[in-house]
Amino acid sequence: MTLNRFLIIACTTAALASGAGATSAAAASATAGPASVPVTGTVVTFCTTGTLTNDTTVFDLGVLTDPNTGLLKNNIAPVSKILNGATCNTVSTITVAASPMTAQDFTTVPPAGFARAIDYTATASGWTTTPAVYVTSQSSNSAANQARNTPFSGQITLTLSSFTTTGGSNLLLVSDPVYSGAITVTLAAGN
Amino acid sequence: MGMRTLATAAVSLSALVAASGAQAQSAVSTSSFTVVGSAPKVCTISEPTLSSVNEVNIDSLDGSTLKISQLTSTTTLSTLPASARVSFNAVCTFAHTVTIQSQNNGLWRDGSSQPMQNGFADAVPWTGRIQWANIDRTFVAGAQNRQIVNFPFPIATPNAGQLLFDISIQAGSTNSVANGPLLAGSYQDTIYITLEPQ
Repeated sequence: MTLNRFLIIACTTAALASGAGATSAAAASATAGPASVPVTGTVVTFCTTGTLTNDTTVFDLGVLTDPNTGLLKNNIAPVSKILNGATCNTVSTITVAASPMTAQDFTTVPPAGFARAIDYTATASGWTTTPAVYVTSQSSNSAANQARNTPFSGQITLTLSSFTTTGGSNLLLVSDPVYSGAITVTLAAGN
Repeated sequence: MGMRTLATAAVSLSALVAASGAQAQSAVSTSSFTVVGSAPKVCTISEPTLSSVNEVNIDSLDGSTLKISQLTSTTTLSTLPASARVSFNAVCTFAHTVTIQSQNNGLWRDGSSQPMQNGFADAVPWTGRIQWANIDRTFVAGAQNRQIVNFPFPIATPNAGQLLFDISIQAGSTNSVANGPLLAGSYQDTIYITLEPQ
């Protein structure tokens, strides 16, 4: 649309010039070759992580502890979330980041033998051969960024696994109605 | 023509800005998620275990029944001293109250409900001590009247570990005169230890 409007204005300018001095304009057209009009355009880099289909962005794990012991359950395995239509029209980097689940009401330091946080592993697969992995118990997560050297469009599957009590599996979790953590999946052009 | 050129330039500039803005927004895309769950209130307490600490004149801990070897002196017929420590493995994942409840307010003779007036005694007081979390408290089931008495102790934090309960009977203590004789019979009390929400 922008390009078309520019061409129309250019023609109008030529007509006005012709009206101001028709003789010189006619002489010029006799000696010049065909005018060339460069046509250029830009395709901007574009990435989208896509959308969830019939799903929410919340991994609801329900009750986290064994009611008989107060310890974290050892069989927590939530259903993965699938991002459909993830797309990058250039080389890209996928990054996954996560924060431990923490008790939202019990915010003080727990007494000896207790913990108020849960670590886990967040894995984003499908975009790169090697999935992007973030382990919340680790201070460094070199596998959290993965590069893709070609444009791509497809699914990203986000999986949470390996839930463990922060500080050790022998620690009890303080009672709290809400433990919460956050995960992000990012696609960025370039690598 | 000048105005038209200027308008054209303005349009072109707008288009460039829009293109630039679109590029900044679409080159990076992020999806955010949350993971949530709950840790319900949990309290557990194990079966009692008899400790050798403070054990005096104790026959056995049979299940949850603590048996005193000999409650009275064969010569004075008054109360002999006895003591025991019973431990429980316990957990409470939240601020709670531990309550010691005595069903009889002392060891009462079966069938008795009021102190005797004839110089004989039919109940024996006991002293309890609880150590749990950050508390170490002593209390007395005085045997003045046969009734349920509660000794509640609030605990401000979660706790896990051993709950220690000491019970002791002083020599010569009765619900009548000191060192008074006890009526023949079976003496007992039932003590409940409860961990519950505050």
